[in-house]
Amino acid sequence: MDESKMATSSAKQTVEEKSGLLSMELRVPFPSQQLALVAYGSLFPDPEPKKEIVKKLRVEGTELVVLFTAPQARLLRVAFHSFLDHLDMTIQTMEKFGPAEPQTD
Amino acid sequence: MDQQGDKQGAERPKPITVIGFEGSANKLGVGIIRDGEVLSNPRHTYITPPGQGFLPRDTAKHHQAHILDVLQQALDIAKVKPQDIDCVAYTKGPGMGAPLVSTAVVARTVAQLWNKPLLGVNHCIGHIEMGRRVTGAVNPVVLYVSGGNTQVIAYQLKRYRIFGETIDIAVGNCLDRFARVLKISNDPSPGYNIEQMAKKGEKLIDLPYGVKGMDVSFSGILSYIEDAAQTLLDSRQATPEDLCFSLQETVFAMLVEITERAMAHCGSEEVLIVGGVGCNERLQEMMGIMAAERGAKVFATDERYCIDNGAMIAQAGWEMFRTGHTTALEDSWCTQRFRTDEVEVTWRDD
Repeated sequence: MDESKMATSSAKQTVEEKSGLLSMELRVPFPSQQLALVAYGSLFPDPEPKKEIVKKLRVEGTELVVLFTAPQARLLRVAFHSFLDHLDMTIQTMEKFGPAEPQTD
Repeated sequence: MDQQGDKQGAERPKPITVIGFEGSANKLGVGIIRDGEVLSNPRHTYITPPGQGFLPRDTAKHHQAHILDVLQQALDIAKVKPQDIDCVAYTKGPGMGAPLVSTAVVARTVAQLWNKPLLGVNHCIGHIEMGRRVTGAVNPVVLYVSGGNTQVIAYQLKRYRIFGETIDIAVGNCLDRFARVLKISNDPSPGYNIEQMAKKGEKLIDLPYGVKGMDVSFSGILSYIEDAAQTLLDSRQATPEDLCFSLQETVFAMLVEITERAMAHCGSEEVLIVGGVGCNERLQEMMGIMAAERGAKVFATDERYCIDNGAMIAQAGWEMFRTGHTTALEDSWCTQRFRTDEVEVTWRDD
């Protein structure tokens, strides 16, 4: 017990260092590939504020696929959390201002 | 399509309609401009309780909660359909990261849904161009004063060049944070309430004066008044109104001083005041006294355009778009730091 208490902070780092990068994949289905591409276009331009977090987006069929990698779970959660907020914004915008609205051409 | 276009375009150029999204701080606005005419400019402000400032995360949440309604209002008031819009402009920076991105995401989404070009606009350029448009000032020295920015700007050789600026916090930030010390309401804005209280102030308390060449410093003044406030109030040496009055007189005198120096340098006979602090009538009055002595003229706008709004982004966007600017999605990232002089002013020929 004493030993683990004393070593808490350094042991934690060692575990994370040894395990390398954490990663998480998110798959978001859309009604069409066109809308998946719109979501991609709206969400890929902003890089993560912290450079140790990497967020890679791609479209597979009608799905938006996002791969997050970060050295720590804490960082991964922050990136994921704000990404979901922005994803929600783009989906809500599509629902309110999307294809139901008359198109130009 | 081509034939229709020919018929319409034969007489005069087709009007250009731009929608602008602004969300770099606690104001969320969407405005629509058609060839200099403001068709709509609704805004929703995130107001925090007395004693509290606005934090990036909460401000972003506010914008996310209201942006679609504000966008709908902008379209309804303007009686504009998405297909009538030529360009979607949004604030690229400077400002708070999370609120900027929340707003930009929606701008990018509608630009793609409506198949319109996207255009990232510098927030400061938005203030300058809206100020010029509304007041008719041609080539003014610009004092840009808000909660996040304090700059004296003059146009020269295709750039809005910064002649002087704050070396620490913005003047509006100084006022806002002072308001928190006295627990002054943030509704409609701390600065407005300070201005009203200052009108009843009678005693000028001596405060530090922070002009450093062409630059200004407010953090020392803020620290001083934060420390001194309670003692002065407890000992009845000053009322809250006296403190508001003294702070305003001191910081505005500093701003007028550096603006005058920039005018002398440029030989300018116009001053334009923009930014949220710019709707303070005492600042406008003090600037007016200085300008009158120089035979110059002050231009200022009211709270509709001084305070952050969507139309100013649309107006700067309109100028940029008509001179060939657009922003590709991969270049549409937001940035917290974006200097006014980074933008090439392609729309002015003087």
